[in-house]
Amino acid sequence: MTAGAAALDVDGLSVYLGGATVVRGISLRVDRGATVGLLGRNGAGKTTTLRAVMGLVPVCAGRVTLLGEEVEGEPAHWRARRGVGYAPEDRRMISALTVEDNLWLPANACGLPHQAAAQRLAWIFEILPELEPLRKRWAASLSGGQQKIVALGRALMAGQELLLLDEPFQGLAPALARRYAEALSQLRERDRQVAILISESNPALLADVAQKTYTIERGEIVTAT
Amino acid sequence: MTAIAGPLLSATINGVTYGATLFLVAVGLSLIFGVLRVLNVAHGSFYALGAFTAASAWLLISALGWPPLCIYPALVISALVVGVAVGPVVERGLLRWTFGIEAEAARENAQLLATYAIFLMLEDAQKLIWGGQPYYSGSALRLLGITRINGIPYTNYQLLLILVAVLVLIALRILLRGTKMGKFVLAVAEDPEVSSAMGIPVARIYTVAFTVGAILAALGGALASPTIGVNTGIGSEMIVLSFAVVAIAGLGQIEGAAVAALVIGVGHSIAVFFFPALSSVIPYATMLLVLVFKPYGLFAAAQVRRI
Amino acid sequence: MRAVRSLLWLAVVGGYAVLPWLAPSLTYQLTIVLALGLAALAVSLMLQAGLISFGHALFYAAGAYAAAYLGRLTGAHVVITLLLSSLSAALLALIAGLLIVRYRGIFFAMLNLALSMVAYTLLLKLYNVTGGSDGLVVSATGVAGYAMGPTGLADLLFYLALAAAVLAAWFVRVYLRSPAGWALGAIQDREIRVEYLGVSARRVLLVAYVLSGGLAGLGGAIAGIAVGHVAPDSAYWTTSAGFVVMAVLGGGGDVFGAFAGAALYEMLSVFAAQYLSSSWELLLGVIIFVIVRFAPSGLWGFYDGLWRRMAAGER
Repeated sequence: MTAGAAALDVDGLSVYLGGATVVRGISLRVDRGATVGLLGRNGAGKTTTLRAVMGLVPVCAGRVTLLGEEVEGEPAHWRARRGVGYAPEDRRMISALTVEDNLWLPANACGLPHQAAAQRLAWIFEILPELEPLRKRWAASLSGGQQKIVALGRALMAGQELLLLDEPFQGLAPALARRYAEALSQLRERDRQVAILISESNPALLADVAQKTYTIERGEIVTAT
Repeated sequence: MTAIAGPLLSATINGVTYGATLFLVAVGLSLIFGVLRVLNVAHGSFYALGAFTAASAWLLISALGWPPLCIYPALVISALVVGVAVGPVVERGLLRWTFGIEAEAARENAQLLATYAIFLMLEDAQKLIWGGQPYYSGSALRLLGITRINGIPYTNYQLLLILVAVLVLIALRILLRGTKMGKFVLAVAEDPEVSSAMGIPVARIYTVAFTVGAILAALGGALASPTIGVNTGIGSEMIVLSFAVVAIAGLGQIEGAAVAALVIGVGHSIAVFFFPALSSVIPYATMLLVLVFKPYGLFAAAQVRRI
Repeated sequence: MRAVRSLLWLAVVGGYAVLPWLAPSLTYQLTIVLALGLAALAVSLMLQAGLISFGHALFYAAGAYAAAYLGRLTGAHVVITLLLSSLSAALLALIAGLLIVRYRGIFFAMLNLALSMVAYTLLLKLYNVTGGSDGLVVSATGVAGYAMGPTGLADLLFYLALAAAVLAAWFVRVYLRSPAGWALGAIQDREIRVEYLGVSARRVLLVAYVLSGGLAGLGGAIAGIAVGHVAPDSAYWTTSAGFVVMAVLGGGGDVFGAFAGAALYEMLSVFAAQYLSSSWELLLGVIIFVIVRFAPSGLWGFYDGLWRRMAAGER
């Protein structure tokens, strides 16, 4: 890790997927401790950008730098071990496991010592207290909204440096969306180091949480505010 | 005891024994499918390799003059040796490239053909190593003595086989749900992409699952070796039988595979008593019947849970 | 360029037709290649829809057994025997197809496998009807009552097989270029879109499946008469897998690929039986693997690529 480096630096990123270039030469930067929004309509390339940062889709041009280190060609699980947490839009719980097992998976997979992982989990339960009573439930038995919260908790487990949240408010009832945003600001208060990149299609929802917003259209960044 | 009940009980016990072997092989196939999404046509060859290796182990033990009871640990060691020697090589060396094919139909077809090619190679490897003649290690069957149930003698080895199958079922359940590695396997089976984003080394889990599946098939072969004539061709027969079990249970089902193996084993043995000519049709006919009414198998209710 | 290619095909067929004159001892092998080619063509027809059948030996065996039964009716014309055998296999495919066309992918492969294995066990066990593991004699049927010598019959069968193969190849080619054939090709990755057009994917598949069964049955009948004998092994799953291999060796792209694949397969097996008696499957396995891995479009793809390059060079 290089001191003073950004949590995430994307430079000229292009992704070719399913016969089309979905992301074209995108550059963006997320400083440590910053919350950055990626705003765009459906199909604009938000999800692909996040997935490329996570290492889930092959990149055809450009560089992704995590905490000052270029991670070209690195598989996703190595990036997770660098402290990157990812919450996909469609939640994707492991339904054969309980909520608690889902939360433990990234800690075990990234080789966190048991003590540290248990502390981390307790800390996550402080920020997301609604998770605690769900611990023993099967992930498949939760409502969609509850699964979103679990997905955030799971991303926090590995994501000590950078969180990638793909449309976290999508499909949430207004009350739950407010709760989610509140949880994010609580996270901010307690942890001033973690960087967050949120993709969203509704600018109003981003306005409260993000200090900086990139707008993406047809795979290109059009504005940065 | 009525005239029918005697043979029926006997058929059931024989059937459960047969089902036990079938289960071991089929559950390996199911595990591989559940995690890697590959229908492994070469799976029957792992079974055959296990059987041949165990038969050689028996010959070796006799030749060295070791106590005959050494054969029991030797059966298990044979299975481990085969699985560990063949599994990773096949998965990493010969199958890994197919995972990159994006179109699902093209990927499945490439995997069917590649595993069939591996099946052909392993069939001939057996002939080259062990020659064409059959191996009999039947005396291992009688070492443990005999139990009489209603006056009909059963070798205790048969009962041991059932015990091993039950232990494997329980062990798989505990390993999958109770250990870190098991939970990684469950996660990868369900969603390899999210698993890798959580830090799980998916490629390594593939190798582990494939190797464990291969060990299970080889274990089935090793344990069956005293009860059969080990010959070339047992692999090509076993692969279709274990396909049938897995299709009846639903691809990727573990407890379901146990039930399906029991149904086929007992059905087969009962048919041997009453319509011997048709007994070998039972597995395939059952599979057809099940798939007509439940296209994805008896236990594959939801798409979400695969192991 | 197209005319050159057509002429080349004529030359290939013509050349094949005179081979038995040049090497009479090869007539039997050449007939078998055509029979296998028909079965491989049947499998590659289903491959057009992205479906692999590990059970087409069922129809191959059905054709051969039908020929055996028909041969017992003395005086049956060999042409009629071939036609009726092929029809019986097609009928069997119609009955099986009603069930099987509901499935895709692995399930299609496995159901075909299960059906053929049921047939295999029945052929093996119903000794009174099928002769059990000994199989049945397929008696050589003369032409409309005229007795023919064995050489005459072998030659006749060869030319009938060649005619059948050319007709079948032409028919399948026309079929694949018809709307029904287009729909078949589209099922592989755009099945929903086929249904949007108001075409029933299942019906399209059923038609192809029946045609495919008939072709495999025709191949089986030719092989049965050529060998003079049929055994249950012809329905075993490895026979089916052999057809798949031929289709893949040849490349599913065009009808001639199947015959090229069958020829290569038969040549390899004859060669290997002579020189590598115990490792022929090993060699075959390696070849299949290399083709699937590095040349998924098979012999046909190689040949077609050559022409394309030449055509590009001309321009």
